[in-house]
Amino acid sequence: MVKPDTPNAKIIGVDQYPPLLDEAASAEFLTQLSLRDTSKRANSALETKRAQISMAVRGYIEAMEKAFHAKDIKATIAQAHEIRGLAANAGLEAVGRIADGLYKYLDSMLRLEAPIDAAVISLHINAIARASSTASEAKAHGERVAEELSALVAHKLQQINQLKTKPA
Amino acid sequence: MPSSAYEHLHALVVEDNVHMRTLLRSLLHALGIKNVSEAADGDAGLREMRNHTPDLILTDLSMMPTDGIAFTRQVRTSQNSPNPYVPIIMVTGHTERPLVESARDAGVTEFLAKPITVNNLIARLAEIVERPRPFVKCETYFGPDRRRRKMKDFTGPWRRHDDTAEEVEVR
Repeated sequence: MVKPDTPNAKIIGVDQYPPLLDEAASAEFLTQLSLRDTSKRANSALETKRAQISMAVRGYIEAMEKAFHAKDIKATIAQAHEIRGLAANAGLEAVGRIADGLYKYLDSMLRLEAPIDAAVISLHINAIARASSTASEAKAHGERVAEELSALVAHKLQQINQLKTKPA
Repeated sequence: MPSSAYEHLHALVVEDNVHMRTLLRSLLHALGIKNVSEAADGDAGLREMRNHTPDLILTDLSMMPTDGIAFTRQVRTSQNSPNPYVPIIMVTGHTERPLVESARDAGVTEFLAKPITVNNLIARLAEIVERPRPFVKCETYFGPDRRRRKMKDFTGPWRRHDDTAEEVEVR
């Protein structure tokens, strides 16, 4: 196999830049990370924050509904962005997935400068509101709706891309 | 006086959502990293880096006005960067391949997928401590070595003096 005539990558070895921790501290930190007590403490911190995050997500959902009714697309997309990043850590996985789909749809439409279909937004927002219910039945329903809406967004984006790439 | 040698570690969390910032801070505290500073976007992150040089950075991807990719690029390549070798963990819910590749090519060390779990965060931290990676500097890239696994059928491009057909690692 032919090697390059002028390879230009310089490799800087791990001993040529300052380490994160010295050998003894690294070993101590790795031991700390592997302790059952450590992960128990961290999981407890995660659980403590879950209720706060859940309340925050519900606040973002309300703000998104208001923004949509006020026809403020930028605020709608901003709230969808917050929801998609947080919802799963509040145990609201379906909400996160649906908000992610809505964000992708709005972001793509804005970037393509394509007309936004209000019905698509409305479907997503209603589905998010339903999926944010704590009932397990609603959770399962939310997952199904997330899949259907994801397919709808994919279809819409495909349509727009076809229109944009069609020769004049 | 720190009771453990690693307790002087200083982490910087760059994340536009205050709830996610608080969550990451709490998790780092629980794992033993007590010094955590915060910034709400990439620009604020760079300013914070100059005030308190961090040993470790966790950054979100989507932020305004400066996102995690631009921030990472600045940390790695800016002449004013306080520490271009600092490990950077990108915390993201984005799984689209082009975005992940852009982040990797900006010099991200590890990815932590949302939703955040304790096991995943521990695994990323352990990876950084246990297996630090060489850095690569070339015309188009400065950051951790992106080659991590062997590909027997790799046919180039050969960019390094020690590249051989039999022994090459590509991420």
